[in-house]
Amino acid sequence: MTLTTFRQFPLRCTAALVLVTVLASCGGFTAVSIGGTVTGLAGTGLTIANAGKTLAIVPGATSFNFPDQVDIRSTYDVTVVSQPARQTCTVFNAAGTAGAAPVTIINVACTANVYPLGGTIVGLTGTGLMINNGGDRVAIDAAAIAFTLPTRVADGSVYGVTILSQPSGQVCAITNGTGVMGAGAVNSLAVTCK
Amino acid sequence: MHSPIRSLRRLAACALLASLAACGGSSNTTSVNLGGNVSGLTEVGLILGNGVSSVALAANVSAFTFPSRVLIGSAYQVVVLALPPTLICTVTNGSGGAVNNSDINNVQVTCVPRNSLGGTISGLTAPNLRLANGSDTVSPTAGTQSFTFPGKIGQGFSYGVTVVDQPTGQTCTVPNPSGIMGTTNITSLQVICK
Repeated sequence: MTLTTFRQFPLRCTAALVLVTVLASCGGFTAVSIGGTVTGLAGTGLTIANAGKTLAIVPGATSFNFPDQVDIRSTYDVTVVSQPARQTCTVFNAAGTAGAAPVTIINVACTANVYPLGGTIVGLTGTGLMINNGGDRVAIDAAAIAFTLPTRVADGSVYGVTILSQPSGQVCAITNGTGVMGAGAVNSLAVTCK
Repeated sequence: MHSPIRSLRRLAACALLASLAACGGSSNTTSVNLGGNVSGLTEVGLILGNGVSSVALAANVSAFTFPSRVLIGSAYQVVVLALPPTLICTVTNGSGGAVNNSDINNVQVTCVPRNSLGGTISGLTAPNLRLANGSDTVSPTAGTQSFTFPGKIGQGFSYGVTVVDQPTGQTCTVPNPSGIMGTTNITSLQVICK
C-alpha cells in the first residue's frame, strides 16, 4: 500500500486503527493472564473460577494466575466456587474488562469464620446490666433471658466475657465466660442475677 | 490533492488514536474514587487498606482517598492496616459495593487515644496462667507480680479481664475485672492466685 492509495481510501485509517489496537498497542498482548493476590489463606479447599475455568489455591499462597489467558477486551468475573475450611474468602476487584496488560489487581482475601457469642440470663429484673467481651459491649433489657454480643468472634480467637455494669438493685455473675471460639456459635455463657 | 507529508501526518494521528484508545487511559467510567473523613488523627502512622491498595495518612488530616479506584460492580472493604503509636482508629461505613459512577466518600475513620491495661498478681507460683481481655491475651509466668496486656485500649472503650487458663494446680480470680478506659493507663487490676 502506498501513501497515495491510503489517501484515496480514508476508511483504511479506521481499519488500521482497529488492527493497531488489537495487535500492537501497549506492548502487543492479544491475550493476557488473569490473576492477583491472595491474603490470609490458611484452610484447604479454596477454589475460584473465571468463565467456567476453575483454579484451586493452596493454603499459604500469596498470589494466583489462571492457567488460561483471556483475550484482551473480554470481560472477567472471578468468583469463589468453594470456600476453604473454617475461613471465608472474598474477591475484591473481581470483575472487569481485560486491558492490554495482564490483570493483577484481583485480591482474594480470606479471614477466619466468625460466630456469635452469647448465652442465657436468669433472674434479671433491674435495669442497667451491661455485658462485654473486651471492647465489645451490649446493654441488656431488664426482662431479657438471653444475650448475644454485638461482634462475632473469629474461629480460634480467645473470648472473655465480664459484667461491665451491674443492674440496679441486683448483682449478676457469669459462668463459662471465657474460652476459645471453635467452628460454631457459643451459647453456653450463663448470667445469673440475684 | 493531499501531499505525501499530509498523508504521513494523517497516518501518525491514526496510530496515536489507536494507542490511546487501546490503553484505555484513565477512563473514569468503569471505576470510582474511594475515601472518606477522619477525626482525632493527631499523629502519623495510620495506614488504611481496601484489599487492593493502601494509603498512609499524615497527622491532622481530616479526609483521605485511596490511590487506586474501585471498579464499578466490585465490593470494597476499608480496614486499618497500621495504627499510630498511641491511637486506636475504627472504621464505620467501611464496606460496600461500587454500584454506579458516584465516588464513595462516606467512609468514616474515628481515632481516639489509647492506654495500657494491667495490674498486679499475687500468689502465682505455677505456670500456664493466661489472662484475656476480649481476644487479647497475656501469659504471666510463675512468680510474676505484675502484668500488662499487649493490646492497648482506646479511651471510652470497655475492658473485661478473665482467666482463660488457670495455672497448674492453682486458681486465680480477678475481683474487679471490668470497666471503661479513661485518660490514663490502668495499672490497678488485681489477679489473686491461690
